[in-house]
Amino acid sequence: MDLSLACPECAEPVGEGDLFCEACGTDLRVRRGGTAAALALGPGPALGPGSALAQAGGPPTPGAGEPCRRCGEPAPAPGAGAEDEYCPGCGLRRPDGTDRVETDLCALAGVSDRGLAHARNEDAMELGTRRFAGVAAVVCDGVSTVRSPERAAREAAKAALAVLLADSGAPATPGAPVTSRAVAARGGLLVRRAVAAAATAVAELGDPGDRDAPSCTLVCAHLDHPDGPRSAPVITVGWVGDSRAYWLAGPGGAEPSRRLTTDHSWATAMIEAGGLDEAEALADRRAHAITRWLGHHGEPEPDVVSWRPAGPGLLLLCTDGLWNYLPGAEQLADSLPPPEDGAGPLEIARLLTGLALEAGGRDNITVVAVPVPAPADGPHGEETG
Amino acid sequence: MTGSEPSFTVEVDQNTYLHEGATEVDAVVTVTATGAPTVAAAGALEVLVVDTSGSMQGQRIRSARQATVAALAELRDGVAFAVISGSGTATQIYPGRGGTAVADARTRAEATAQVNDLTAVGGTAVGAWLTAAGELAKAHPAAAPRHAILLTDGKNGEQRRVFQAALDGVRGLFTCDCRGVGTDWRVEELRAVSDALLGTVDIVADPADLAADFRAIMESSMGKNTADVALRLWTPRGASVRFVKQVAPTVADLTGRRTEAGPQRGDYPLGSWGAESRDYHVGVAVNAGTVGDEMLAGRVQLVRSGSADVLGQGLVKAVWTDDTSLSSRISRGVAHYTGQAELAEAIQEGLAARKAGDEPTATARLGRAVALAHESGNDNTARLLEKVVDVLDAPSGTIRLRKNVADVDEMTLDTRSTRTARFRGGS
Repeated sequence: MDLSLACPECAEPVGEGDLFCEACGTDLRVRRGGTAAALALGPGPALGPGSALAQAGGPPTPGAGEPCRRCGEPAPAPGAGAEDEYCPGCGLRRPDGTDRVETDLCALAGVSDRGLAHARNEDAMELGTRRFAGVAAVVCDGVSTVRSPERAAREAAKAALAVLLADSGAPATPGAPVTSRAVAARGGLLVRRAVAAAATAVAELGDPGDRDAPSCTLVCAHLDHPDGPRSAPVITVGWVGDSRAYWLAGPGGAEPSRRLTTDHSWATAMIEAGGLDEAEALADRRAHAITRWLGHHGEPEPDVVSWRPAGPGLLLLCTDGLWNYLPGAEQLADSLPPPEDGAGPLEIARLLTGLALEAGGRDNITVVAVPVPAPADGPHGEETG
Repeated sequence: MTGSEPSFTVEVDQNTYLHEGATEVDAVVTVTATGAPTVAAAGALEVLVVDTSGSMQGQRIRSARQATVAALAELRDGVAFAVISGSGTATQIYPGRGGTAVADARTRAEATAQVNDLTAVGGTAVGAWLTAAGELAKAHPAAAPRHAILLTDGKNGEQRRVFQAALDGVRGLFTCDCRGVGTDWRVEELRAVSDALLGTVDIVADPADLAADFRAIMESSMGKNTADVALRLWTPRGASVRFVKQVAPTVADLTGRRTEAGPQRGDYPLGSWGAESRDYHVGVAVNAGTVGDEMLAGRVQLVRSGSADVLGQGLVKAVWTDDTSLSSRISRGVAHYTGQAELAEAIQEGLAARKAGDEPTATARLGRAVALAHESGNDNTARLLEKVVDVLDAPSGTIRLRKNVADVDEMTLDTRSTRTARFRGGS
């Protein structure tokens, strides 16, 4: 590549091996992407691989978008305030860059799509990697019955990822005497801190007593490689609400496919209480009423699971825009391309998003795929909690 | 510009969701002015117009004198003012040289002495009185606010065409609060004046109550400290404005008052403001979108009349959905004020039918009014209705017309039919 690299924050040129930006001090070991970056870029082409370190020249001016898709009115001049959100001619909402977000950080990738029925993408995702340390992802779904649900989802995802990527404390030296259990305990703590930070960020969006204050769900994952980058990871998943995580088995099936999360929802509560079977519960119009959420009057207490997979597979985080159509782990696993195709995480996220769109796209769809390859060395398959 | 001006907030209450193919967008826009409401309106113009026609003789002219003197006492120092005696012509009695006087202890005393000498002789020519007030307003283009009180007790003697031409000639020059004393005046005539001049209209049945009423009008007028403001409505290309109505504190249709303010923009005059809050119902027809489209159906801005200064803004949106649980919701504010506007209409039509001897229509319309007043909790209007009809069952609007109704009760109901119960958002 003959393009020099630039700092993702200030766009000053940086060197390939730099840890920090000389100009603004940004930590270059961290790569991240997702809804926030897409929003900052505004409408335009989806983010390509490796875009977390943006090309020199910086991002295009936000709002310097395309003409209106309905009436052809040219985009308004930047800096025209809130009016930028709508076409000055026909009033149609202008895309803000989040209608379709694609983020590929190689180690993981995600797609967030507005779907076919909703006016806005009220889901958000944030993905990040930290060199020598871990991989983290957050997926949030704004609660549609409140004001500005997308703001809740975006702020929650950003705040949670910032904690997950801050510093996992994992040793950089392979073989250091750290037990998987200790790593899992640390992962659990980190995830709880991330959810707490997200809850605080959402709470700050609304006034106390505001019944329509923004709120959202959250599912996040943190992958730690205590025995070196190519060893089996310790995976910690935390969630609040009905956004889900799945494990989809890789070749060999050493670690079987399964759903990792249990929805905090009316449907789940009814099934657990033994009153209804799954089909009956999900058919009820209250099925998606969630019992825990981030935001006003919500209970932001996450459930957390942590374990070390015994074999390769795919960790999947998604919102109900996907799992409404493909609720079962086996269904999802069967939808994946065969391993010999060598599909990367972005292709997988695109494929699953496409299936949800073909099925009707009734809701916003967000899918994050984190491939977990067969470990090259080191221990794996321990039950850690 | 004198004194400090209030700041404005604009809030929008609507259901943004429309079903596929729907084109009508409704919103209730609440405009609230806050802050520094009692600063002396030293740049204001105040004109007192007193009916001194022959019918005012006796108690009425005495009460009119007292009320005008009470109003003069409320004038803040520095306000430009004048007093006009209205009969078959308009005669300015103070300042006698014409023009206006600046309020202070001496000018108030001089004006009071002139008012106390008023006698009741001659006819009634409301249009001529308003034209005289309009000339004073024209001479004070920078005064803010420019306000008049009009008091009359009788039917206007001018030809309809002359009266209408006079109204058109003074529109926008000043705001005018109208009071009818006794029961010989015509509600529709004074309502035409108050509608055209963005003021209030009320009946003062007992002349003894006039002084207190004038004092209240003056207090309110002296509290208004903005220059005229307008509601500027931006609508998308291809959209049309179905209506813009003030719906609280009273119903007043502003749709026909639009003046173009640039491409896709029109201004609707709102008069001058003190620290107060008013609600507007805005109806826009837009081109239907497809499911998943979100559109800005209107941008409501509060602007200083004739300027580009935006004092506040609210957005009216439309989102098309195939989820009927979303699109079938009706904003409670919109529902409430749709009912209040219908209530005013039902009362006015019912009373007109009653006067014309059409009892079935009168019974149907006034029955509907009783049901609407009951449903919306408009207790004041419900009480006024009960003086005109016998209510058998309020929720269903089952009523019987009364045989003998006092003129004062019928006129009070008619005059106050446009007063709405305020909608309060939240639970």
